[in-house]
Amino acid sequence: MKKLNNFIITIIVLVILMTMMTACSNSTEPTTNNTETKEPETEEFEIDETKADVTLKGPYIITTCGQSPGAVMMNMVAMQEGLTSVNDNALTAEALNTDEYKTLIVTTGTSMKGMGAAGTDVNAEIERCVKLINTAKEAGLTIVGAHIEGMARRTDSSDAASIDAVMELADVILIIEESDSDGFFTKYAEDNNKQLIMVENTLAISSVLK
Amino acid sequence: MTMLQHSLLVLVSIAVVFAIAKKQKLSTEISMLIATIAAILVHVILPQGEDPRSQLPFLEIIRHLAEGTVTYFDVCLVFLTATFFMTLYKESGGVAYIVRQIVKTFFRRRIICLLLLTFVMLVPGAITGSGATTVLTVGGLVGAVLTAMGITEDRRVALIFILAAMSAACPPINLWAMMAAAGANMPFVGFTIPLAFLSITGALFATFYLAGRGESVNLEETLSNLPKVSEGWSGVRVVLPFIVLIGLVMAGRIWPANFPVVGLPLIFMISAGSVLLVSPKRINVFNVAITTVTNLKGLVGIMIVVGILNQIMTLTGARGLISLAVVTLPIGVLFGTLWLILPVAEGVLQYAVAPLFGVPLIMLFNMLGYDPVIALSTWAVMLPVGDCLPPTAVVGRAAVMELDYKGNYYRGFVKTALVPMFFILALCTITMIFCNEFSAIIGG
Amino acid sequence: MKNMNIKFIKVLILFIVFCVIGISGFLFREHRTFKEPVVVSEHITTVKKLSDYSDVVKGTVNDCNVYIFDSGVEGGTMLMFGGAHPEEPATNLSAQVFTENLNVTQGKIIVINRINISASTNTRMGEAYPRFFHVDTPWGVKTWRYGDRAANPLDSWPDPEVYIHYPSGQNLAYVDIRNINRNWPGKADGLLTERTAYAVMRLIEAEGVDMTLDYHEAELEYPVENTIVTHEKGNEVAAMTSMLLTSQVFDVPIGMEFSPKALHGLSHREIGDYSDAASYLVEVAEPMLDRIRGITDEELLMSGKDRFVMKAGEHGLLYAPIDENGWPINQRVARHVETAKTIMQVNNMVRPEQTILFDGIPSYHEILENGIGAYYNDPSMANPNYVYYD
Repeated sequence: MKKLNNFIITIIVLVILMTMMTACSNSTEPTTNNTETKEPETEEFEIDETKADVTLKGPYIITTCGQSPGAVMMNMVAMQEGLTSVNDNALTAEALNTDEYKTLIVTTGTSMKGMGAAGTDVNAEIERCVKLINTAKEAGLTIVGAHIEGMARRTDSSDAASIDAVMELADVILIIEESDSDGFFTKYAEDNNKQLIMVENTLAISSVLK
Repeated sequence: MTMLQHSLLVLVSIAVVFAIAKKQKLSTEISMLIATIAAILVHVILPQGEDPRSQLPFLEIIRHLAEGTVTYFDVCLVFLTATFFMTLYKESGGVAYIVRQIVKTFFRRRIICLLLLTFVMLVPGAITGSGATTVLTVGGLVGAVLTAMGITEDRRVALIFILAAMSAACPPINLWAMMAAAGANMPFVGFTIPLAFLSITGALFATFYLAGRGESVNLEETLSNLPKVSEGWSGVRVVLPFIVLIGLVMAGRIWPANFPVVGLPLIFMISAGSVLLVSPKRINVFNVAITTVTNLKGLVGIMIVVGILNQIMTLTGARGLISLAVVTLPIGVLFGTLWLILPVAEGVLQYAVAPLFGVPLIMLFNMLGYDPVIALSTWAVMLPVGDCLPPTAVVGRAAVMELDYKGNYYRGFVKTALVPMFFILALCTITMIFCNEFSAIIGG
Repeated sequence: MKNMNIKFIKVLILFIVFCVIGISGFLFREHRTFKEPVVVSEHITTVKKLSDYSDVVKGTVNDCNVYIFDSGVEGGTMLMFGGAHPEEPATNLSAQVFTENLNVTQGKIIVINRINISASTNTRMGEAYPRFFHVDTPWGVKTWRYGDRAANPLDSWPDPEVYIHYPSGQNLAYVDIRNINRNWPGKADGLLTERTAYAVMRLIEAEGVDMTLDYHEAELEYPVENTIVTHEKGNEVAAMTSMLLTSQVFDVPIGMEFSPKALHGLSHREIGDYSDAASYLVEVAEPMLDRIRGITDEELLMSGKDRFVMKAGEHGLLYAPIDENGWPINQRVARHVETAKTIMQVNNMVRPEQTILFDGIPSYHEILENGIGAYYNDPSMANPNYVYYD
């Protein structure tokens, strides 16, 4: 019995040491994007050109895919500019009055406060927004997929799911520089032939709203 | 010296000193205490290295040791009061009366009897969150019935352990899930179905695997072997203490806004008082109290020492290193090893594992898009399976003590329990891997 | 002979145990009874006790000081409080920067440095925390109690097997019945922290509070990090505050989160639901709270530097950046103070009828440059009428 006891304890120590060694090594495949804030590699982008070429026309209807507050921020910026803008985070295809608006802006990235029962159901959000976007497209509205809350909204799989779902259907992608710290959106826009608007920060979004 | 090397050396010192102390035939509790003191010495002696750190005055070391002793103070009180209640009940003859009645009533209906016993075993842990409480309250009673049903000693103690572990995992109270959910700011909502599915499935499998078949029993012979029942017991009298116990627990749940917070220790003491009221014979309460404390010396001792070990491992960075090691494992490796890591860690650190591994793992799984409620439920059912593993083996030891088991702890009891243990771990691992699909099925 | 040896060993062990009990008992008592001096700003209007608003905390350790700065000029009212979780020191330190320096010229600001004093009188068991933390000031070293997340069991015990939140009925971990940020909106006949939350709700009603700010810190593994969590009443203000600070002031962005409706007991949800006030909660990164941290000591608490947490960052497991510079206490307090100021300034624009004007509070860059110690006054040199104890 003593021998068996010692054997089990030896196994425990070995398991601990093995896991230690794994921790000591650098992971070659980081599981997610690192949230570290990096200096924006602005030289790769043609920000001024895009700013000069593209402006978005109101009135705007703004919603969020993932219940993050980006839509509220976008609405605040539009209102500060004196533009007509409505924010409805639960907007559905059925409730959308297509005659009143020229542009539908859907912000992406998911709310992170509260997990489990208090969390956001990203699949339900995507379903709602995809239906909404399709209805708006049929009515001739310009669809803007936005990501304006930086890398903090590009950390987990829910963020990725909302970005993928919305950007695929968007006519224009609107981002802030920090959201593209790793060049993801630039590459995405190039690969998918989407128009990209990149501004320095959320306050600067006003420069592309009309 | 880097912090990683420092903490690794502390960890190695714990393992080496513990092994040496065990070799010197010291008890597990004393060996762990000596290993903990060695850890703090190594921590103080090792040079500071590249990172600055604060001075650790001698008196603060003393304070850390003392603070560690009370980490599981509440749990120890529950152990003591629950055992006191059940020992009184046993002394009064209540257990003997119930066992006799069950054997008489269910003599020819083995399946119903087993289902009833499984239910009886699941209830105390489900409402208190403690597997040891299950063993200490109804373990002896159920063990006696199992004996009467012709179940061998090894299978009996193995079954009592597994059912106690599953009772701790069973909703509504699962302390591991609760503590980890609290650490991750998750409400304790949505856990009932996954926890119930995993723990009840595990309990039923264990029951029928270990006790489904047994030697045929001669009723008269069995009854004559059971302890004699004192005069004066009746069905009403015998259930009254349990009505008091369950009534006090449930009152707090049904009327949380109006019923005062009594706390489990006092609930058990009030229930013990009700035993004295209904008991047809006089009981020497003082002797029962002494017996209780004597029997629980080991269990309480190990909980105290584990508290100290946890505190010192945290102080020295050793605990953080273990936690870091686990969460930085690739997800595939995590799926393949958590079934081993979690029970082993439970055997070492007890409930401290919940915040230690549970919280970072919830964050990790949430980040990767796995349903955190289902995933946490699977870990919270895997963890108590480790309660028969060294060095603490709290529930395993309680089962051995309560059933007065004479066989070999590992080759007899643990070996017999291995199949149901692996079944539960496999079930949890599969559910963890397919947690999103499981969540969709149950509408979570 | 052998018996003699065993007896000697037993006596020796007993002696050691008594020594440990004596020494640690002394240290625990020293921690529990340590008083934190607060030299209030000369512009203070009055200092009340929480029990002035509700008897339910009278005579308890949680009958905290309520520092009121009333300009006498009509405007808005802000209540800010620190110390909800005393294991998060930037919270009470930030509140105290206001208490010791504030001058309100329009509207009213109410500050509570430690809203759950009981939780600051012991450290969290099993976490190996230091008992005190210290800040260098121009006049010497200032000391504060370091604490737990939940109230001291000596003040609130026993816990129920499961904590059922009042009035939502949501199930939470048993220990959360002592966690004030799971107790809102409180319960008059509840346990200590429930009663404390209840009394603060009465304060909010009595003083006509328009907005509340609850200071917090969070582990870097936790998704809600470096952010403002807001009740829906505060959406516009929080959004604009986040945009302004991220664009113009902070190196590391500050985000914004909606208060989830299905998570109960938290200040940002319940204060907003059960009063007229808009409720905000701010978070900043504190590596000391991460389970994966290395050596646990005051150095880590104050510098926010930790190799293990950095390693987790390399694996992409964190929601906040961290490098060799860590998250020093100056930066954490500076962010909180600046965020509080900006929330009030933005609120002035969004709701002019609730205007609050004030001065005396250092900017983000001033705190980084001078250190927080520069903003706490020397109690030994102060007018005793201005010295209070938390």
